[in-house]
Amino acid sequence: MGKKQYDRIVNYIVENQNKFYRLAFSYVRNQDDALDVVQNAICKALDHYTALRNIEAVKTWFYRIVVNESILFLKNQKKEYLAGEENYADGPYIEKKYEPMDELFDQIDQLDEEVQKIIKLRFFEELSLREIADVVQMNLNTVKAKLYRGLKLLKQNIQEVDL
Amino acid sequence: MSDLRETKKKYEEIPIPEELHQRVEEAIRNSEEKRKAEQKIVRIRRKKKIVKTVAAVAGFVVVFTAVLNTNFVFAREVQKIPVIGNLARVLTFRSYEEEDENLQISVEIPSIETIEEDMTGMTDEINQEIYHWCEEYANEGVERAKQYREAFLSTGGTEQEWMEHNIKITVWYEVKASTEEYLSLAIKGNENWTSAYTEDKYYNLDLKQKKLLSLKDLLGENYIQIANESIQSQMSQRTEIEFWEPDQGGFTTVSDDTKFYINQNGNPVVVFGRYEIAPGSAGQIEFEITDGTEEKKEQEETQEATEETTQDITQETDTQYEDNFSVDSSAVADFANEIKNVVAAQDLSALADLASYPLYIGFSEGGISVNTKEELLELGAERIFTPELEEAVQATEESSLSPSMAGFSMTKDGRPNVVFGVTGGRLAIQGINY
Repeated sequence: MGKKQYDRIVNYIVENQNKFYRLAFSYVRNQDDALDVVQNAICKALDHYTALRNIEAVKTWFYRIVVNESILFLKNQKKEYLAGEENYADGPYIEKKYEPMDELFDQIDQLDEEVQKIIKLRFFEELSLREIADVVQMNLNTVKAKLYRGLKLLKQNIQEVDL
Repeated sequence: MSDLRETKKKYEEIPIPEELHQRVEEAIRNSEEKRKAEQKIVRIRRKKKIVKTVAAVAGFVVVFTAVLNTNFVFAREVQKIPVIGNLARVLTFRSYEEEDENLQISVEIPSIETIEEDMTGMTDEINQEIYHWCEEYANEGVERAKQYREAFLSTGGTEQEWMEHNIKITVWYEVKASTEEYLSLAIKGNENWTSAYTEDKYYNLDLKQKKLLSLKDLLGENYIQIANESIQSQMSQRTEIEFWEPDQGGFTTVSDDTKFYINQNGNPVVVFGRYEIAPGSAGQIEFEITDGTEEKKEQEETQEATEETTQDITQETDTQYEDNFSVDSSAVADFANEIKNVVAAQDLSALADLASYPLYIGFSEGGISVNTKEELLELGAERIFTPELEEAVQATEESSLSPSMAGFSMTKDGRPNVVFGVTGGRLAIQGINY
C-alpha cells in the first residue's frame, strides 16, 4: 500500500473523470453542482485512500463515493433551501438551473434512492450486477430484485433492455 | 415515452465542461499537499544486486521512481537544529517504489525540485551536486543500517523484530553561508537507531571557480599554524569541556581532511564530531578561525569584562552554579533559611524576589504559572502563605536538604512544599505546591 496504490487511484480517477461527472450530473442536474460533487468525491476518496483494501476494487469503491456524495449534496441542498425560506434578508434567491433531460430521465430521478442507484449504474454506467452489489452494499439477489422492480415502475419492457 | 436506450444516449451526451479537468487536478493537488504534510517517511528500497547465498532471505531490489514534490515544510521537530543564518528545513523527499519488503529501511532526502526552489540563483549543476551529496549521505546511512541489520539478524533477531525497529534515515541540508562568491553547505542526517548521533558533512563551494574550497584556500599557506593556534587558544578558554590530551586521542593538528564550513562572517569554522577530541557529552565542537586581528580584539574585550566582574565577586549572588548538584550545602542552607524568614514574616514581596519566573504555583484547585513578580503579588499573601505551607517550610531541616534534578524541596510530608533550585546560575524558588 502506499504511494503505488495512491497513484493508481489517482490515475483511475483522472482517466474516468467524465463518467463520474455525468453520474453526478444525473443527480444534481446542473454543471456547477456536478463539478462540486466530483471535486468533493475526489477529496474524500484521496483523503481516505487507505480505506481501499484491494486496488482491484477501486472502481466500485469510487463509484460508491461519487453516488454518496451526489445524494449527500442534494440532501444538504434541500436543507439549505428549507432553512433559506426564512432568511429573505440574505438577498435574492437565485434559482438553481435545472437541466431538463427527457421524461424517462426525470422518472428515474423519482425512484427511491436505492433503486435509482441501481438503475443508473446499470444502464448509464454499465456496471455489472456484481459490481453494483458492491457499490450499493447489498447482496446480488437483492440487487436483481430491486432492478426488476425499478424497471417495472418505469414501465420498461424487460425483454427490450438486455439484462 | 422514450426507452432506456434513448435516455442512455442523452446521458452520454451530457456535456463535459472544460472546467472539470481543472477541478479534478485541484482536488488531487489539495489532497497531495495534505498527504505530504502528514507523511514524514516513505519506504525506500535500494536497487542492488546482491546475491545472498545464505538461504531463505531473498535479495532485495529497489527501484527509484522520482516523484515531483514541489512543497517543502518548515521546522524539524525530530531534532533541534541550531539556527545559523538560514533556517534548516525539512524538505520533501524523493519517494521510492517498493519491490521487496525485507530491507525495511526508510529514507528521506530533499528532492532536486525542492533544492531548486530553495536555492534560488544557483545553477542546475550546483543543485544537482547538493542533491548528489544528500544521496551519498543517505546511501552511507543505508549501508550502516544494512550492516546493523545483518548483525541484528545473525545474532538471533527475527525479521519481525527488525521491522519494529522502524529504521529511518533522514537527510537534510543547511546553508551555512551564501554569497556571490561562495556557498557553504552542511549536509546533516539523522539515523534513528543510533540514538541521535549525526555526523555532518560540509561542502564549501567556490561559485566562481566551481570548486570546493579548502582551509588552505581560506587561510593561506600558513593555514595549519593559524588554525592550530586559534583552536588551541579557544580550547583553553572553553573550560567547560574536558578536551582530551593529544596522547589520549585529543586534538593534535588540523589537516586537509579537517571538516569546516564558512559562516556568515566569511570565516571558516572547524568542526569536530562527537568523540573526536572530547567526551561525547560535549557533542559536536566548533571553532571559528578568525585571522589574528579579530581574536586579539576579542581577547581585549574579555579582559575588560573579567576586570569588571572581579569587582562584584564579593557579592554572593554572582556565584554561578551549573546545576543543583554543584551548590555547596551551606549556600543551600542559607537560601532555605532566607525562605523560612520570608515565609514567617509573610513578606510576599521578598518571596517574589527570591523566585525565578515563570514560577509555578500548584494550588489544590489547579496550578498556575506567574510570569512576573507583580503577578505573584496580585495573588496576595493570604493565598500564598497558608498555615500548612508555613508549617512545611518551618519544619524543613535546612542543613539536610539534598539536591535532585528537580531541585531542593522544603516540605514536611511532601505537600505542601517550596521547591528551589539553580536557575540562570543562581538559587531561586521554582515552584510552590499545596
